[in-house]
Amino acid sequence: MSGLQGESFVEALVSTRARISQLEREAIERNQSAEEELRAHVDRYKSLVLAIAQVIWTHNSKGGMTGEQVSWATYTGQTFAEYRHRGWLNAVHPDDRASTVQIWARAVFGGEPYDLEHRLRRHDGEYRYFSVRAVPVLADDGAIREWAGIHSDITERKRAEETLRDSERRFRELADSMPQIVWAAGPYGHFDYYNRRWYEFTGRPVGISGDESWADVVHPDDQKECLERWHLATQSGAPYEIEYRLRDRMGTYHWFLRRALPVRDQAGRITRWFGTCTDIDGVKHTEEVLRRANVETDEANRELEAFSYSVAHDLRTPLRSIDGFSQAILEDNAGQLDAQGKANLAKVRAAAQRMAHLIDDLLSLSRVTRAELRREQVNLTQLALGIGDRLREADAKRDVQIVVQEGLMARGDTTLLAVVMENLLGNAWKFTSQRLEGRIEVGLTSRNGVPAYFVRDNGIGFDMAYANKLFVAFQRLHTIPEFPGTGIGLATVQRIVRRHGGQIWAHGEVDRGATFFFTLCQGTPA
Amino acid sequence: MNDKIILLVEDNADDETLTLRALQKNNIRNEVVVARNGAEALDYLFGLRAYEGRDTTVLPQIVLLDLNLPKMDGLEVLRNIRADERTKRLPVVILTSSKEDRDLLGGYDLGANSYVRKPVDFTAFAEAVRQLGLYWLVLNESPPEQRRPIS
Repeated sequence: MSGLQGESFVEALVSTRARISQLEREAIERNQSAEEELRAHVDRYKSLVLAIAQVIWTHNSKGGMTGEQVSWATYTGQTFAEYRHRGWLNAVHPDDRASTVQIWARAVFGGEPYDLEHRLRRHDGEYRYFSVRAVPVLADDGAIREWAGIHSDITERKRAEETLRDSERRFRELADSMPQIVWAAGPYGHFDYYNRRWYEFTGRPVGISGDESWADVVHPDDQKECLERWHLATQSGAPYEIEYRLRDRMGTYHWFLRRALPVRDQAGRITRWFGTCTDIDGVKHTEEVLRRANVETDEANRELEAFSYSVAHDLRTPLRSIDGFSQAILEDNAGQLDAQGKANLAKVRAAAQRMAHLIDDLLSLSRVTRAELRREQVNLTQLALGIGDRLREADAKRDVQIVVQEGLMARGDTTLLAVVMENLLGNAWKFTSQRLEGRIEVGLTSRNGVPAYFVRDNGIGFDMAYANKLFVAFQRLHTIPEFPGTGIGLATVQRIVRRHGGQIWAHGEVDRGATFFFTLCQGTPA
Repeated sequence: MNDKIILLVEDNADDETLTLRALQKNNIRNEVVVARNGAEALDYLFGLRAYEGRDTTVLPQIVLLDLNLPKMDGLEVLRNIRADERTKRLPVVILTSSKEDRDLLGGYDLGANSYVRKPVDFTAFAEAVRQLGLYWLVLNESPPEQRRPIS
């Protein structure tokens, strides 16, 4: 039921009709036997008309239906009385009648073949789309004798077209609803489609595409590379990706990530390019901020490094003089000093030495920040036992029981974890000094699903009200004569634990001991 | 033992006094040559400028080298000592205030024989000097004296 078939059939129909007319004329002239031959032709015509899928009809020169219209009657279900003269128009969809009459009237006036499309009501009442072609059948004198027409059912084609239009519309709706710029180009890179976002962003009049549409929107510094890469892609057919700047309607440039993929036919030839431009200005901005922050951090670290270096050298030197010459006076001028004088000089020396400890601890705190963190398997059990041995050696008078859980392994920086254990065990040792039977325990528990190591002692403990001050540098809960210290140890421990991504906290009760817990990685929030 | 010279490279007068005092307290009576900056130390070792004409085959038994020195710092002095044929085996002990990683690593990388941090506590400092003296002036065997090429 293709259009071509229909048209060639019309031609055949026209010639058949002409032949019938001729035969009719001949029949009048000739005898009865010719009439039979005519009937045979007419019968053949009727069979042919019914055999084909199209609807075939004839109108007289004025457009009215005359005579029997087998095909028309079969399709529309109209009776002769219903279709005769202009009655056939009633089978045409009411909305299409006016246009049908208009085209038809012009054709009749001009005597030219005509084509139109309209909906025709089938005998069961369903309207279907038809393509109509009609040609005039001329009499011997050239006047229009009648019109021969054919209706070809194009409903399926119409539906296919409709489906195509629908999918096209859906594509546009989809493309327009995207936050990205979407575009399409022909196989040779000629831009022929942009989604709504493009026009909103650039402020260009809707509908303008082609190469001119984008060249001056691209940042001048990016144009050359952008063009070259695009030409390269369209030549090689390779997917294309570039970061470049596009100017928005206000004249501000934004960074975009532009990507394109070729669409190929079955033979592998590129038929189209589809592409997107994603606004990566935020990402670019963040990258830049991050880069600057890194530079600043590096600078700060270098300054800290220089500062620490200078502190390490220059701040200790005068302390040596204070301590050294105080000692010299005590030795060389002992006779000139009374007991009070000697005691005062001893205090000067003690203060200088304490200051030296402070400087050392501060340097160690800052070293924790500066040092590179290397994660490796660390045997905490071994580490703790070693520190315990050294504590016992240094203070052999004391009897402290140190219990360390077997097989405590941790992932962290060996040197830094040693600093943690030294501080925690050193504190436990120090704060159990007033106990007759000191006990220090090192073990493992868990918190929020991650291993939490702990150091527990039965020492003097602390009031939980001050728990938040424990880890603040220079904050001390005891006087120096009571328990000597610089107040930097736990701050250093906390910094190390945090550098490992872990947490540190403590539980304590006055006179009932303290427990310090720490993790070395992040757990799920409680 | 008294012919064994100690070269003390130290710019701080207080530290110089205290070091000499510590040596004295420990009955270390060797001759101490004090260089107050890096260049002076090298002048002494190589017989230059103020030390022109000094017999450079006579090397100190030990160099006590401070790091934080004006003009030429201690590590630079050490580099020069190690780079010269005459002094490349000379025992050098870095005796300084800091124990910063870069000083320690730099010192050992350049071939320091030892690295001692000066304690603030003079009693501890005197003890350190005593041990240094015992080790470097008594226990340690110096490299054999190099023969002077026959001219």
